[in-house]
Amino acid sequence: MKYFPLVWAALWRKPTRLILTLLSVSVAFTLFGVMIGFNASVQNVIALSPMNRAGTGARFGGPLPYAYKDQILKIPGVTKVTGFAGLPGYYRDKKNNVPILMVDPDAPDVIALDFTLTQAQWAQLAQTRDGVFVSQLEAQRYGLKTGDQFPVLTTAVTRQDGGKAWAFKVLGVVPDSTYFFNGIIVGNYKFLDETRPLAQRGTVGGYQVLSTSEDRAESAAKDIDAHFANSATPTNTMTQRDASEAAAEAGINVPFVTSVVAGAGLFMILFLTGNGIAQSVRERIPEFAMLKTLGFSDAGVMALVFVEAAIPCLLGAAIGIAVSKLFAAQVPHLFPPNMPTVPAPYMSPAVLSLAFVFAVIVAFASAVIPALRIRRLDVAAALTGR
Amino acid sequence: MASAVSLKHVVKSYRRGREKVEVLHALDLDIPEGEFLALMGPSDSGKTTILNLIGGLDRADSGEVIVGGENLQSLSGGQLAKWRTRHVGFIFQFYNLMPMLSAAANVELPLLLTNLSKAERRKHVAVALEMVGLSDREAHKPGEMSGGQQQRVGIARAIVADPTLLLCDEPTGDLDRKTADEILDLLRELNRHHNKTIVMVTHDPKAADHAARQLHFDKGRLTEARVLA
Repeated sequence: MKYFPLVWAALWRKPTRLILTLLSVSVAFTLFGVMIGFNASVQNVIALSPMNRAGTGARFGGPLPYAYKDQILKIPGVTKVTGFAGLPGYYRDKKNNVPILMVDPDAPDVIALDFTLTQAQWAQLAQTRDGVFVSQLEAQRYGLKTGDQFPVLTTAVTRQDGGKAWAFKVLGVVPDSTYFFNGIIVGNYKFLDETRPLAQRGTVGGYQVLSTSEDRAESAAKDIDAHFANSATPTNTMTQRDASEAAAEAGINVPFVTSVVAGAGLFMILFLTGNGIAQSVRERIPEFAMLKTLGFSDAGVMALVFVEAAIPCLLGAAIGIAVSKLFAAQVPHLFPPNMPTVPAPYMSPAVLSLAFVFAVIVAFASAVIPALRIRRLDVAAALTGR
Repeated sequence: MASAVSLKHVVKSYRRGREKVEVLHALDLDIPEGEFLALMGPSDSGKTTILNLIGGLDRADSGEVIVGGENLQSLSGGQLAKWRTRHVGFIFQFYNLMPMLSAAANVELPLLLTNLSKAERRKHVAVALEMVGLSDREAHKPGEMSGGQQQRVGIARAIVADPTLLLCDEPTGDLDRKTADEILDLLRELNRHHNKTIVMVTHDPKAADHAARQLHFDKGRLTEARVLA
C-alpha cells in the first residue's frame, strides 16, 4: 500500500493517455460482458430446462384434441400432463401484441418452473376464469397493476357470441422469468375454452408432459408419438432440453460467435494497453534506473509496472461490466412484445469472475515485455545515457 | 582512520560495438571514512565508472571493491540493491526526481524500502528537508521549484536513510555559480558536521576546491592527487 502513491503518480503522468486507455478497456469489457452474458443466458435457459419434461404439439401444425391428455397420461413413464393454448390478441392498439398463455389446472404440477407464480397464485388463477397474472415486463409495457381491467381484442379467435373483446382482470404482477425473458401473461384455459365458438372448443395448442425420471422422458416422447401416429392428428414430441438446445442453435452457434466477438475485443485491448504501458515505461527509463539505484529490487520495479498496467485494466473491466449489466437489464425493453428476441445477457457470478480473470490476463500480458525490459535495465548505462 | 572505500587492482572494461574498451587499469584507491573526495578528469577518464563501482551499480571485471568492509564483488544483484538502500546515497547532475511526486514524496522513496511506519517515515523526511533548508517546500512538485531547490531535494533524498557514503555525479553541473556554491556548502556541511564520506565526480575545478582531496584521472589511470585541507 505504501507504494500506491508511486503507481498512482505514474498513471496520472499522462492523464489523456490514462483516460483513453480506461475508455478503451471499458468498451472492450462492455462488449465482453454482453457477449459472454448472452451466451451464459442461453446456456442458463438450457440448463434450467427440466430433463424429465417433454413438449407435445401437432406434427403438421394446428391444435390437438384436449382428449389426448388422458391418453398421454396412460403412457408408461408419464406422470403429469398439462394442456395449454395461446390467445393471440392486442391491447388498445394493434401494435400492442400481448402473448397470453392459457393454461389448465395441472400447469403448476408440470410447468411451474417456467413461471414465477406462487402456489397460492396458481390456485387463484385456477379459481378465477377471467384472471391473468402479468410479468413485470408486460406490466411496465402497458402500465398494468393488480386489480386493473385488461381488455384484449383478438383477430383470429372470436367469442361464441361473435365478439372479439376478452375482458381480463389482472390478479397480480409477478417477477419476470428466465424462460419467458420477453415477458408473459398467463390466463385460465377454461375461460378461453368456454368462451370461444363451439366448433373450436376441446382443443389445445400443445401439451407439456412430465415423466417419472430423466431417463424415461426420451422414451416417453417416442411412445407418445407412436401412440398417435395413426390418429387424425399425429403428434411430435420433443424433450424440453432438446427443444431448448435446438432453438439456441437454430440460427447461430451462440457459444462460438460470442466467444469470437468477446475474444477479438480483448485481443485489440491487449495491443492497446501493451503499447500504452510500453511507451510509458520507455519514457521513464531514467526514473526506473533511479529507483533501482535507490535500492528497489528487480522484482520490485517489475511489480510496479504490473500494478500500473493492472489498475486501468481492472478499473476498465469493472466499468465495462457495470455498463454491460445496465445494458443487460434494458435488453428486453428494446424489443416489441411477442417478437422473437434474444435473451437478456445473464450477468452471473461466473461471468463477473471471467471478466476479472481476463482483466488480469490482459494486464499481465501487456506488462510482461516492458517489465522484463526494466528488469534487464543496466542502471549504470541508463544513468549515464549509454 | 579506517577505509570507507577500498579499490584493489580494479579492472573495468566496456564493449563499444565489437571493440572492448578498458576504462580502468588495475586501479588502487583508498578513501578514508569521513573524507570529502573529488574525482576529476576529462570525459571517458573513468571517474563515473569508479562512482558506479563504489555504489554497486556496476561490477569490476577483476579486482576488489570493498565499501564499508563489504566486498561488493561477492554480493548478488538483490543483495547489492539492499546494501545500497542502507549504505549509500546518490546525488545526480539532473536530480532524477519523480516529476509527479511532491518534494516530500520524492525524499521518502528510499524509506519505502525500510520497515519504518508512515509516521516514522514522515519524521525522517521532515528532518532531511529541514537539513537542506526546504521545510516550507515539501508539498511542491519538482516542476514548481528552481534547479537549486530540486538539487536540495535530491540531497535530502540521498541522506534521508542516513547512509554513511554519499556519491555525487556532477551535482552542480546543471546549476549557476551561486547556486552551485550553496549546494557545495551544503555537501561540505554534511561532510563536516554529519561525518558523511563524500565522493564527488566533477569537471568544475571550483567545485572540486570544496573537497579535502582531489584525484585527477586520465584514460583510466590516476594522474594527480592533491590534498587541499
